Amino acid sequence: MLNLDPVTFIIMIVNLIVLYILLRWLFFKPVNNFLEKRRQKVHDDLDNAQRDREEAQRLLEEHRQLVAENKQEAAKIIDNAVRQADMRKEEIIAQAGQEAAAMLERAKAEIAQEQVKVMEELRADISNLAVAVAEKMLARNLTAQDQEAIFTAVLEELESHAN
Amino acid sequence: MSSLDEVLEGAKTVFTVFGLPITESVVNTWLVMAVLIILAIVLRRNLQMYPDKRQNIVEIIVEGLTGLVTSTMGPKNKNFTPFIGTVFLLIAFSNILGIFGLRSPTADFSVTFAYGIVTFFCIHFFALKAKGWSYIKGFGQPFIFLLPINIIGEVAKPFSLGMRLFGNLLGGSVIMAMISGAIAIFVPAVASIYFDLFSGFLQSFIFIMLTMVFITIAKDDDD
Amino acid sequence: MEWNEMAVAAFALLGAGIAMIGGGFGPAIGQGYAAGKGAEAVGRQPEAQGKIMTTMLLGQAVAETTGIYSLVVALLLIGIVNKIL
Repeated sequence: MLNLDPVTFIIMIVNLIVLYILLRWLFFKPVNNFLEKRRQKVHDDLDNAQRDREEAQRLLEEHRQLVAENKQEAAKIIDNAVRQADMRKEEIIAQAGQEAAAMLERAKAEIAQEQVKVMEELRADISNLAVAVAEKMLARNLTAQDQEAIFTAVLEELESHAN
Repeated sequence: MSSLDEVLEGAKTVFTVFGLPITESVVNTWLVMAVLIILAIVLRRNLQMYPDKRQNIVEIIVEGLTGLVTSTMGPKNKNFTPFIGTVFLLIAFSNILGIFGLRSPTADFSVTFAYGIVTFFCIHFFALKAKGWSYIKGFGQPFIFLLPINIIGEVAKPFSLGMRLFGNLLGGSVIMAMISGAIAIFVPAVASIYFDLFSGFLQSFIFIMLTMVFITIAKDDDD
Repeated sequence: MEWNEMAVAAFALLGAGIAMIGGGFGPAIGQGYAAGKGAEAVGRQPEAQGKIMTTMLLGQAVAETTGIYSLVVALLLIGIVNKIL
């Protein structure tokens, strides 16, 4: 039982070495190669996924920026339009005011002119009338001197009335 | 189950080739080897990217052994996995053979000492390859007077490895034979789970652990 | 059987028993101590359970060696008895 059997001993050493070579060739090497290959594949897949995700992130960022830019531009455009409209409104209002003032001015001038004209006409008419009335009343021709005196007197009276 | 006398008698000679006796241990080891090789061929066939049950077993065995070797010997000694795995599978299956009523080859000192000697040569071969002349000089450290003690310690390693495995297995076989001699039903089955399965796996695990530790210490330690 | 042979057988069996007493005590105490320390270590660092387990089993296996030696001696002695009887 405890005696060393040399035949068994040597056969067992050979057995172990043969089994080692066979198992390494048949089992450990192919399985390890396969596991290594799969590890590589998983690694590559993860890398690819990471790259794709980064790409998607980048695109999303780009789009977001684009949208923000567009929004900003639209706001600017609207702002501009509003500002322009405001300006135009002011302009129109100012123009209208000016026009109205000018019209008023003109109307006033016209009225003043008319007044002067009417006054002039009236003055002529009244003086003529006064002369005629005086002629009639006196029923005779006055001397040129009298005529002049009366005329001046009437005119002065009228003048004071008019004022 | 073999009787106590049969266990104590040692391995019987099954047949002789050219006058050389081929014992039961050798025949049983050939059986174990055949089973392992057939299992290896069957389990390894068409490995796929999406593993099924069979492939999961293969991956657990290979990755478990690789993890054990890398955690014990360091990642740079990963290439020892096939050797350590072969020793583990051979010893574990030899130990378990007792459960089928066959004689465990590992309950024969010639067998376990052969495994111990293979480990012994592995230790010194890889240590010499890694360290060269300084490894031999290392035996004279720290004093030259310790040289005989160091050499005895090295020579004792295959004996202690072989004795440990042999003693455990033979003790288990003896106790199993005594139990089956005393009570014939049920109890031997329960005891067999401990002595053959659990103890068998534990002893083969301890054998490869010690092998790995010895190789790593001899190969990679700087002092 | 000669008286001499009987005495040899008796002493061989006695020697086997004594060998197993010594070889049983030592490793049992050593392994129990290792297991206790292992349990302590797991209690202190539960996350390192795997490493502690491996180290403990390894230490116990080495401590067991002396017990195995005495078992082998005992079996050799019993083998002598078997040869005589």
